[in-house]
Amino acid sequence: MRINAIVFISTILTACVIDPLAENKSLPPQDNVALLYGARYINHNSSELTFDAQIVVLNTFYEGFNNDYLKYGDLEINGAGSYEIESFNCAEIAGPDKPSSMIFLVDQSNSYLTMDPYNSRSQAIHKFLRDITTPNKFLVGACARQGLLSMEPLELYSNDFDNDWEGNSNYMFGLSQRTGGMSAIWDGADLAMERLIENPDNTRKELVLLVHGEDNNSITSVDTLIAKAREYDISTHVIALGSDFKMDDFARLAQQTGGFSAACSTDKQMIKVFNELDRLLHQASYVYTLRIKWKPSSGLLSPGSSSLHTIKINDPFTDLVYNSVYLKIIIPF
Amino acid sequence: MKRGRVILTISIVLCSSFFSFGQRVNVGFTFQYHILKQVKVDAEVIEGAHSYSLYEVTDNRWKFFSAGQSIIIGTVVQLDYKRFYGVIEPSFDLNTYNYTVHYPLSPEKKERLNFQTLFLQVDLPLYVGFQFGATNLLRYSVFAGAVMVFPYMLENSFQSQAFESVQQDYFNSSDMDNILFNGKKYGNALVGFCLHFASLGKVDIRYQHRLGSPGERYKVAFQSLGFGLTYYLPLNLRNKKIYYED
Repeated sequence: MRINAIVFISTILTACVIDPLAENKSLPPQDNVALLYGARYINHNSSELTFDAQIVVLNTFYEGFNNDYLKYGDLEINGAGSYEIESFNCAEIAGPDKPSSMIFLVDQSNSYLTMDPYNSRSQAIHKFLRDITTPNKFLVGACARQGLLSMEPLELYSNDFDNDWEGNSNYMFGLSQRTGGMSAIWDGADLAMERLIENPDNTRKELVLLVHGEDNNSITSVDTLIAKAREYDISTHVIALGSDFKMDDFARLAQQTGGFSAACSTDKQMIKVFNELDRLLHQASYVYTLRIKWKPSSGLLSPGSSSLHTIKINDPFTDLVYNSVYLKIIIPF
Repeated sequence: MKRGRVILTISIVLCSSFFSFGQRVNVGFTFQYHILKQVKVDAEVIEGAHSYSLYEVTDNRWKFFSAGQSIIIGTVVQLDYKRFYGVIEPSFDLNTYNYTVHYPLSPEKKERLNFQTLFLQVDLPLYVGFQFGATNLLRYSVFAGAVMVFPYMLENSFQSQAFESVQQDYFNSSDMDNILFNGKKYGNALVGFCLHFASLGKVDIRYQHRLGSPGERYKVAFQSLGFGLTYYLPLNLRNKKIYYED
């Protein structure tokens, strides 16, 4: 505990001293948040499944780096069966060695009105876009059907990945006045992937989705998206805001395309994710890696069967319980 | 700093020259009240200086009272030479601005935010006038010059219509720093029309326009219109002639 306190105080002092000329801008209130950095099937037999889960934990008092002080017993895994954590470690995972071209897409459908009453989304995204630096490139857009967008299901701010953070931020800011219609996140993501595929730059392709509900209106299925993303090597990251929907498809899309997913139950958690998002996408990160053995409470495991697992973190230092991390594991054929 | 000293030196030299040529020196008090103001930001969206908020520029109009007020109390030294006169008015100025922006929340709802700035400042107007009409009692004049402004205290705040309890969390009261204000000295251009009452005093209407903008990113125009009342002390400091000669 004393070491934690020393680390905490040193962090704050370092943050104050390191860059006194840094732009002094504040975000709306943030909250601690955990996200799934990756998951991987290892092996199985008819009664046991072994998989790896990689988790990133972000604390509000850590600005610019991840939580790295959790212990084995601070994590609780829930699902239909019993769990055993076979191994647990926290280590730095190197960032990508190639710059990326990214499309950031928001679900602009009507239900967003109740999710973020203060439009803090636009502030958080503004911060995220300002953090991105060349040679990484970005483009923002929105998707909805029968709403107020000028093009449906996907409207992009521009045709180019031009890193115009001011124009893209202003676009995102004005989007709050065009909230409406039905969700079309899968169709929008499909078109965004097409745009990424067309992009001639020799960069990694990344798609970041900000969603707030299930999509029951799209023609494109999540399986189609996963197949396309895997074929063209498009990492898809999902930030889901709210708690009234199933995370299955979102978690699966992110996991199977090499992206991460965050299930933010409040806008404060979403803001924290955006605050650190550029770093998570483009730099090295401290990641908890768990090897988990699961014995289902009923039924036999076979290729093709899927299971959903949630991981909860009880932080002994802050006494806080984080948002759940969702993993969808499918046993390959 | 160096520039300020140069201006001060020139001012003293000019005042000295006026004394040597002046037909009459009047000393008195002035009270001014600027109630019609305009703050005009030449942008559609303002990015907050200390938050990641963006604000819609929707209200650049001239306004009575609601865009702010200036209450000025100072001293006057006026030197008359034929039709011309030169004035220096060291004054204390309680200068307020109130600028309204909008923050969109949904297609139907926008949050209205008022950024308020209060300056306590020392004003140093220097201007010359030309008198063009006279009776035994009244003279008319127009005048023009500049006002050096030295803010020495600055406060800012903002009010939100809807989010009274959370406004400090979602917006920053200093978001207009270096956009609508900063603590640096600045200059105003000054023109006005004046009605003189013999050697008793004068009433004027004056227009001021800030030279330059507080920050570099956004071009912001500050204009105000107000009136001034000046009372001359009954002192004959240098009484050659009371009125000008044609």
